[in-house]
Amino acid sequence: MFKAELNDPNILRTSFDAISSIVDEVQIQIDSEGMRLDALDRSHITFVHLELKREIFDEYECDEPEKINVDTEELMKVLRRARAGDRLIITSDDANLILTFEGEATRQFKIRLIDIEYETPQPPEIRYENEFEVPFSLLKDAIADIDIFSDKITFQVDEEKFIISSKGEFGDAMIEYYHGEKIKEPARSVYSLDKIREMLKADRFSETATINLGNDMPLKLTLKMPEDEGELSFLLAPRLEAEE
Amino acid sequence: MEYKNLAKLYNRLESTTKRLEKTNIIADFLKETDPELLPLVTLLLLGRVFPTWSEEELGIGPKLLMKAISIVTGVSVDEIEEQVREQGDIGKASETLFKRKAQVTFTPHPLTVKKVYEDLRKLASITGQGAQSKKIDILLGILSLASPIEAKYITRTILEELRVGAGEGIISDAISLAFNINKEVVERAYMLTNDLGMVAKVAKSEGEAGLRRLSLEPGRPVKPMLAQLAESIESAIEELGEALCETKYDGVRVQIHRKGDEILVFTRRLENISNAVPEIIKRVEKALPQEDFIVEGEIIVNIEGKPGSFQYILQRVKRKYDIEKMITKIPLTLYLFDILYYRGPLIDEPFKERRKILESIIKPIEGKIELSRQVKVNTKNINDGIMLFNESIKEGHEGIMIKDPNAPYIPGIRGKKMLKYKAEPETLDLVVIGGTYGKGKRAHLIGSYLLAARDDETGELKTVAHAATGLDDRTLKELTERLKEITVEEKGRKIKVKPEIILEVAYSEIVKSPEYESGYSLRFPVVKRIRDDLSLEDVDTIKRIESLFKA
Repeated sequence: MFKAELNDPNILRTSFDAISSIVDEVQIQIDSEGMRLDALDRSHITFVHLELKREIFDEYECDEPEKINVDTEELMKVLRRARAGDRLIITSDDANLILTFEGEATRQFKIRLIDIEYETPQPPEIRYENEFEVPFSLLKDAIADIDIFSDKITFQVDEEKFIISSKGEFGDAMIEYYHGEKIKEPARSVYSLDKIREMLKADRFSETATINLGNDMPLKLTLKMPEDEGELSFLLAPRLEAEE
Repeated sequence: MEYKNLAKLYNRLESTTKRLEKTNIIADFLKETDPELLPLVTLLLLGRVFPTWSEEELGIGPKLLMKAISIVTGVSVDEIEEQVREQGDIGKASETLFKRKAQVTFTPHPLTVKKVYEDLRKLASITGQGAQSKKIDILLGILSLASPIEAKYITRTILEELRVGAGEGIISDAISLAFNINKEVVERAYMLTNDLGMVAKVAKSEGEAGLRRLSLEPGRPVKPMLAQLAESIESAIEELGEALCETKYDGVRVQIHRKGDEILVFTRRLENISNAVPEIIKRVEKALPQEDFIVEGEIIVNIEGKPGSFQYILQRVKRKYDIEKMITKIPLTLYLFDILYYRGPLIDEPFKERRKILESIIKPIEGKIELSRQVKVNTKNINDGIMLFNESIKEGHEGIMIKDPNAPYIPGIRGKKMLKYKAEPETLDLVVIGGTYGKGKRAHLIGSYLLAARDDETGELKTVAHAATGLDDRTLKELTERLKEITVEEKGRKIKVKPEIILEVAYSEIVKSPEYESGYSLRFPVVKRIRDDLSLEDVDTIKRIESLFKA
């Protein structure tokens, strides 16, 4: 039996904005430390990891660990129904994940659990030479810029700048940002713009994003809550483009 | 077993056209395969996910598959279509595109034969709202892990066009070679069980003795014994010495099984049509004893005592709704003519004994369930056979069957122990593999069909003729719609389709022709009807065309 209360359901909503666009079904693991999930999308391109420690919750009880399999889209539909000022209470029974919004009225949703054999995917361990932070809003703007001419996006970093660019048939786009961090070696990789867009749907998780970048390597993008009580991270496989 | 190994096997099979070599390659592979995996490996070797007699279908058209390939490879659907056109097949096109694939994927585990098989089977069970996107998801799950060569064979398997030239005959020979078992024993086991996968498994784990133990089992359909065409009634009876002649009814040949309280009706392509003909089941329940049995007969449409058109009967057996209404609208009569199992297998009994058993246990109900009309004929009263033929034709039936009274029942074999003689000229059942749109007013109709016969050695389809006449406007329209759905490729007015629709074609003469892959062609081909009651295996073989040519 577990019960978790959130005074502000937004953190869950923004997380699942991204998660539900990447994977259809997830297993949420719940224990006395908090909640977490690991998933890999159907096309085997994006890993997603979410961790919400018990400290985030205003109240949190869990007697024994539980594993809950849900359809992310159904969960998202319910989370979208949160109203400003609603408090969210999360519990479960044998067959349902139960979400209760308490505001002017009490609204309860039971989401059927799904019966699947869930194999928790293990992301590969990758050592990166580079780690730097960028404002989340900068990334969000950049994808709109890139989208004008291309469906691929190049991330590049050197000692001074983080450069986001694309070349398209009808034009090119380039965004430069002075990161002011120590970079060990310049790196460059290309990714699918759609895949980046899916990740960045979690736009209210954190104001900054931490990026790990290598040459033709997966992109690691981590969003952290201020006190480290929550983390949403992604690992995205690159595209190997023939040099033009 | 990793799917990669199976892909390599397909590749080797494709690289040779020699039957013996193919047999050796498969035999070696089967020897190394874990017995538990043999059933699925055998099915996949045949390019199938479900046995032929299963009602289930993958239900993935070329369009949906191309969409999935497009997502995985990042190449547009248009470009994929272009590749398919250029390379002439989805498999080769996929291989090329997967080689160029830029998007890297994480591979948490390699593709296994089991995973591919199970995921493909899942595709068939998805229906209802959002089915398309769920199907795409499953396709993505497999294809995103596939290497170029794996993609080549997975895509072909999905569209049911594996084309590695390993037919049932070759696989059956390979089983015999791999496990050192007499060919006839393997073939017999296959004919009786209809399940090469099981035959392979039993051959490996229990050997020849195990295969010999396999037999008929009520509830599991068996391939029907097939009839050859007789040149004339006289010559057929002369040759047999004595014969049992029966009216040949023009309907759907069925095999009816009783197992415990359950009665099942299968067509000759072993489709289960029990739900479509509840009245037949009730009559069988009444007219035959409550024991396990397998009987064989023909269901025909009976309109006020006269046989109705064959097209009506298809409306009955394919029916999934409003069945009660159809029972009165299109009434059926069942004529039983053989029994294969009664308290035990009877197929090794001579036909005359089987018929006696059938006669002794049946309580016919006139116009509902009857015995086929039969006369005993020998060289001295050939005329009785001819009279039966004339009367059968007069009553609107198709002709007569001429059967050897001493022959056992040999499932799946077309032999000289069972002959047919028809009033109508001989026709061929050919599968449509392509077509051409008309011109002008008929530009929206596919009016000409490229037809193919089966190479019985390799299972490949080879072209025989273009047929353009014979259909009424409604059927033409219906056929056009159906062909559009299975179109794989379009080039100007010409299309290529997935081989699925079988047409019965009459002709004036068979001629040699280098223009067609089979080496033969038909003069003045006329489409008689669509044969939805037949499956690809029933498509006439090039061997048969050859023998008709020589005859």
